[in-house]
Amino acid sequence: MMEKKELLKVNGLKKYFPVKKGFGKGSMQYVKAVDNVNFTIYKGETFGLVGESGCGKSTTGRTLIRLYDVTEGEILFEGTDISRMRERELLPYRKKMQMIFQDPYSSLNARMTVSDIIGEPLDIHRLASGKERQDRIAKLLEDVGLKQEHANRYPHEFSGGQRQRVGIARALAVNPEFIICDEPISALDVSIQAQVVNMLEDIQEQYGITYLFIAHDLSMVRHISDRIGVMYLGQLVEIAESDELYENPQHPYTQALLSAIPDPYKDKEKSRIMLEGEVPSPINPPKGCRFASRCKYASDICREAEPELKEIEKGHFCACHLNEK
Amino acid sequence: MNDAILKINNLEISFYTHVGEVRAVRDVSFSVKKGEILGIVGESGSGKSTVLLGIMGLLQHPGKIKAGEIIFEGENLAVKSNKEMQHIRGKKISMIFQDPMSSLNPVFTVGNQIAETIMTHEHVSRKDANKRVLELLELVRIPSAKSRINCYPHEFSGGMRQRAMIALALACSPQMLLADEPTTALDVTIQAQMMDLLRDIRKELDTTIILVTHDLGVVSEMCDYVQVMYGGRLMEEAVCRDIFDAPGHPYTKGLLRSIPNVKKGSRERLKPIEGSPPDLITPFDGCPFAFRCPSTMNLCMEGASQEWEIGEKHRCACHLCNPQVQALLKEGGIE
Repeated sequence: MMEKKELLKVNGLKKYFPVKKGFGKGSMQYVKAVDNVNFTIYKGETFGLVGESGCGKSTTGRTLIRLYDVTEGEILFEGTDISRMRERELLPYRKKMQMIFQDPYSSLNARMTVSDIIGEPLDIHRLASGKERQDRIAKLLEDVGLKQEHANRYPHEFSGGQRQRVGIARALAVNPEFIICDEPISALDVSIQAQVVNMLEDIQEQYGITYLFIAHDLSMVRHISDRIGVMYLGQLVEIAESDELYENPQHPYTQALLSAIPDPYKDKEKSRIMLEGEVPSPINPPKGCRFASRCKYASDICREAEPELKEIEKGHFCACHLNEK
Repeated sequence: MNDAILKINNLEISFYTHVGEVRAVRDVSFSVKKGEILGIVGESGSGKSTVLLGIMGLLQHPGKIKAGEIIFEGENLAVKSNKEMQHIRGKKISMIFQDPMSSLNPVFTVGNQIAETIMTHEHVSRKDANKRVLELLELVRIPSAKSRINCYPHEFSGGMRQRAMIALALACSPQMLLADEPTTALDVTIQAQMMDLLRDIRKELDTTIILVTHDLGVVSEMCDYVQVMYGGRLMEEAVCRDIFDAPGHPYTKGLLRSIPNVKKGSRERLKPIEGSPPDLITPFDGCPFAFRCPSTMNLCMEGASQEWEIGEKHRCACHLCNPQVQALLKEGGIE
């Protein structure tokens, strides 16, 4: 592996959404969607972020790219904190960070042709015009496996997989260094998913792009990611290299999550860890470890003190009191 | 097979839209044995959900059963009127849908909705019906069921709503349960709970289940028997393990190659099926997979294959499985 260079470092990131319950002062409560998250993404790697719905993985992605304002914490992109920047200062960073969305149906403007959709970022950042713009669009279409004649069509004329390709071409248009893929394949059919994943890998190799890959399909995440972070109720519970995480999961939640994957080629002996109950509400998350209410190893300390994310082996981080001794 | 609870013969379902006839289900025949869990897998548009709607008599306006028979307990459901179907639907056959929030009525309590179903089909008093509701909610393991009876669907979490849907479907102890992507909208840990529940229901009540899904992992853990559909046709059917260990059809093989193997965790490239699913509006008599198949022959363009027996209880609709074609291929007399 190449020498690791930090591209993005997140320190104590928090994103709270206010909700009003009842009347008067003191009735304001917060959904703690992302609550004190720390991680680093290195240049050229794919960092996977997994977790169940509502755990804050998409909110993390959207906060990183400043679609949401940060409640607290730092986002260091190549050493510069972008968490408090104004829109105008942020513009050069918008060029370096792009996003691919989950739903290829609602993320493309139905009234624009494909070449307008891909060309728009070029216009905003004044990267190309005239003949050069045309050539750039043609090259982008080729990169994502679409044909030249598709340029003047509208999104409704395409299938889901092709639309997702248009969305990827739009993200690539500004030559970004970092792309956040927010569940890019979960709306696609199985046979199309593999096409898109292969394409993302080709593009990464060709342009040296760093990915943050957010997904809930655990087998696909293992395939595409170099390192993986597992989220539960707004916090990261475990980070490790992907093979290490799948073969040697340390956090009880990760163990349960991985054992729940229905796998056609699973060993018969491996039994499933069935989690009781459901995820608590992020409005008033429980004190102590957030997983304690569903964890079979939970003891008194888990309900009292919040475990910290600590390095237990080289490159393997886990937030659990069981690993403290 | 004598103990078949449901037998479908040459079923054809079409949607008559303003741009032409969409042949969503073509010449599909199969049978389901009592107490079995049958899985139907396929991608979106393969016609798998349409088959279920056809059995339930729930096809919406431009859709029609064009030909074929659906034999359930010796009666042909395909020719029954809506009124006759009302006595079967919910009582003998019931269905679970993918999205529990849009299938439950938001303005009635969950208990109320289940009791209504019971009172419609069985002549019981409200009190008895409510007693049965409580039993059902406990059967599907809703925690503190007693206090949940008077809750509205929005007060339930996603997993609990799906449990309530299953309770609703089981209200009149049907012989058969049709489940249309019951776990797709759920998280993996909740999905695991739900698969467990469905398996227990089959064991306890001996209910026959048809499970429609696109998730091969779910199929491998739940089903006894699997059918693969593509472009409105049945491609392959076999005992569950055989589909994964010895797939016969090029489509099934392609599908299995395009999912990453969790266990190995290899970073080796995935092998996707090239191209995109067929457009069912263009009339085409050949094999629907012919345009994406790596081993297409001229024969495939001319007509779809019949089903060939390639193993015990393992049937595959591909010309490559035809012994005559195999012989010709060996001689090199075919392209």
